[in-house]
Amino acid sequence: MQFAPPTLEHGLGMDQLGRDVLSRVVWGTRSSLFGAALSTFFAVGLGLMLGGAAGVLGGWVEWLLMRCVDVLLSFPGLLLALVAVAILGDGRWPASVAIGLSLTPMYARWIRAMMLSIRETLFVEAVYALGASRWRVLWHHLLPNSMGQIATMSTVVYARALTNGAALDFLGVTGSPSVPSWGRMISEGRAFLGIAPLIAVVPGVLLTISVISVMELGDFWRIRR
Amino acid sequence: MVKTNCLHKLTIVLVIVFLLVSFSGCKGDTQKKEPDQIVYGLTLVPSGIDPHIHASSELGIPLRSVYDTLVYQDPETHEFVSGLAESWDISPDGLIYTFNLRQDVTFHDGTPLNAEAVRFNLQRILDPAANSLKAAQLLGPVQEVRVDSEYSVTITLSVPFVPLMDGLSQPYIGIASPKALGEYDLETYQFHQVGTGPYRFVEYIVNDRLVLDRNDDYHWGPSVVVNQDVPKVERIIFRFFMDPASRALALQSQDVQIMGELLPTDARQLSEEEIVRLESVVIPGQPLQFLFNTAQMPTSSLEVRQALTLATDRQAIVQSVFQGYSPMAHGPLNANTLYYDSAVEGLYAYNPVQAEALFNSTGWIDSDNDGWRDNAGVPLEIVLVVPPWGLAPEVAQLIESQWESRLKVQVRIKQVASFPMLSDEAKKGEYNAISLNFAGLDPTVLDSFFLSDGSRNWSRYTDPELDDWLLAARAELDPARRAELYGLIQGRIMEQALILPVREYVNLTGVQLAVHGLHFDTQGWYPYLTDLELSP
Repeated sequence: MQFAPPTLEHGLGMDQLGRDVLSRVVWGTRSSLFGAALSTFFAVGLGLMLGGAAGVLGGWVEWLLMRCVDVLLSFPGLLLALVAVAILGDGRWPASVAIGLSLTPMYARWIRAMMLSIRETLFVEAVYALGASRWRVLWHHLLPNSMGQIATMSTVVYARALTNGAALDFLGVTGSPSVPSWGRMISEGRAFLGIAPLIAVVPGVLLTISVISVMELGDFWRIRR
Repeated sequence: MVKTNCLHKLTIVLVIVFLLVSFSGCKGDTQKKEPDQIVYGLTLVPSGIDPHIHASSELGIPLRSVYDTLVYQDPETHEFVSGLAESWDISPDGLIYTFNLRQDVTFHDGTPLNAEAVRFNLQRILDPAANSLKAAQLLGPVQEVRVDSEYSVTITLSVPFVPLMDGLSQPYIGIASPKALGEYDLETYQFHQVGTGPYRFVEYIVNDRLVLDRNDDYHWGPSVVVNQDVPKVERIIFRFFMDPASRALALQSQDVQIMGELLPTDARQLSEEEIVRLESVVIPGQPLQFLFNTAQMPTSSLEVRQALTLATDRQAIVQSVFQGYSPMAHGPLNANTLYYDSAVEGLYAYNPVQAEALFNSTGWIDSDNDGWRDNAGVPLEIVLVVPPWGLAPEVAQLIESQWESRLKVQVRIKQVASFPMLSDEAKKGEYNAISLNFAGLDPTVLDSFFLSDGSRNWSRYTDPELDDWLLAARAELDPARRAELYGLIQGRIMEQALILPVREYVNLTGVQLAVHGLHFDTQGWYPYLTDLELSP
């Protein structure tokens, strides 16, 4: 039963505890993809707020926000996520939030840089000259004009969230060991690479494919625009 | 032109000098013989390695050979033989122990061993400031340590304590140099240990290595080892392999010569391929067990604890996780522990039908038909807290699937990273079962777990009668009566289903074929490094 090779009934065989590898991969896909989506949602939301505010308001607000972001950027993202996990508690969702937090500073900086470049364009100056408020400029001009880039950047964040999430799973800080995820399957399966390679190889390949696909999707959006 | 020529010549001269220097360097390297050394793989980094203070079983593996103990215990007969103490005398009432020390022993720092040194060590352990996790418990109710003469020391107990000799034979009460103990404080001594044993402590770099060099003055080995003089192997380096998957690889690549706690699947493969010799040692003491929390719903109910135990197919766990290398455990003690009572065998033979009936009798049933038992609409949840070592997480996962499928009760596993974190969880008390086991030949190993005020009473169980038995058993001088008391104790623990015993703890050690003479002391964990030999 343990380490059983693939059969019709168990498409990818069984793992070290006699569990069906295929169904664990499927459930792991769910938790990995959803977890990364939550992280991205978090990072994009917070990053847009911070970067947008800094880019639009300028002045001392920009200075303060960007120094905070710089402090966060000076830590490796994964280390930041580990610290956040230690504070938020272990489990899938706290870990996703932690990864989202760790990706926020990078994203906020991008958004600000983008806002700055649009802010200086002639048409924005013209809109200001016509008497528009800052918020009108933000909502009607800055955001619509940067949607494409925001989407492309978000795919990069999503890819990072996938790999960082897998890393936390691999380290075993994301809650119960019996809940399958790609990172955890790679971590557990590598002890049995010689006997049953599929346990670790399949989630590893899936992780690679997902990251590449997401990046390609971002490229596709950028080119299409 | 002349100038360029000069530069060319200078370059050539420099190149020649450089080549000469590097070749001579090579020559020097080939002439210098690699020291005879063994790399020994440890499986976790203890939270501290001061034997008087810390409790990890791992620390005794190197330190057994850094220190000598007052007495040694014969692994076969369990008789005590002389160590640093040449002879001893125990008063008939079991209260006064007098030890006469060897007069020719010196510590690694050159200071002589005498009665004052022994007193100094025992006082250090008993000092509440040391916060000793194990050694102080091994000493028990010691009231006074008195120096009678230069080489004679008397220990007086307030009540009889039979396992004292067993404790004195363990590396936790290794006798250290008072000079070194005085130079360093409770925090730093662990990095500068000085004993009298066959190996000297050279350095300990946390997470990286611990190095021992042989003691060239050694000639006072006990009769339990073959080689009572200077050890054969010059240097032993301990390295840490916390990731179980890396252990077999390190053995295969010849990076280590001895490796403890192999994964059972790897052990099987390595021994079939005849790359290494497998030494499997059953460690006396407690089995791999889960302590049920009797203060937390629903394991506060006896029926629930019994049902959970009955619904656990331990044979299946032993077969799959431990590849059959480990005997299934039945009670609070492994079968090779002193006073093991075989009456516990078969008490909780796997019986899912009876388990279900018992659980139903508690009234916690699936009232809303969602597939899970609930308590007034809220699904019942059993929380298991496990440490990362000893394959406890794997065992917990199998238990989870067994309980969930057979008892329809939700299980959540919480894995912690270290012993301090495990203790924290135990203090918080928000668990239904937690895994921890201690090793020890004498059944007093149960005391801290099952006395009402025991420091590891993680079952949170209070039973005055059990307390009386435990206290009487450790003071009982008559072996027959002691056996009877420990029979009662083991029976009560299982009757009350305070623990879920899983497997007897077996240390699977892989040894390269070139290494000979590995054997362990009575406690099972600690090797006598002095008998190791390397064949060329």
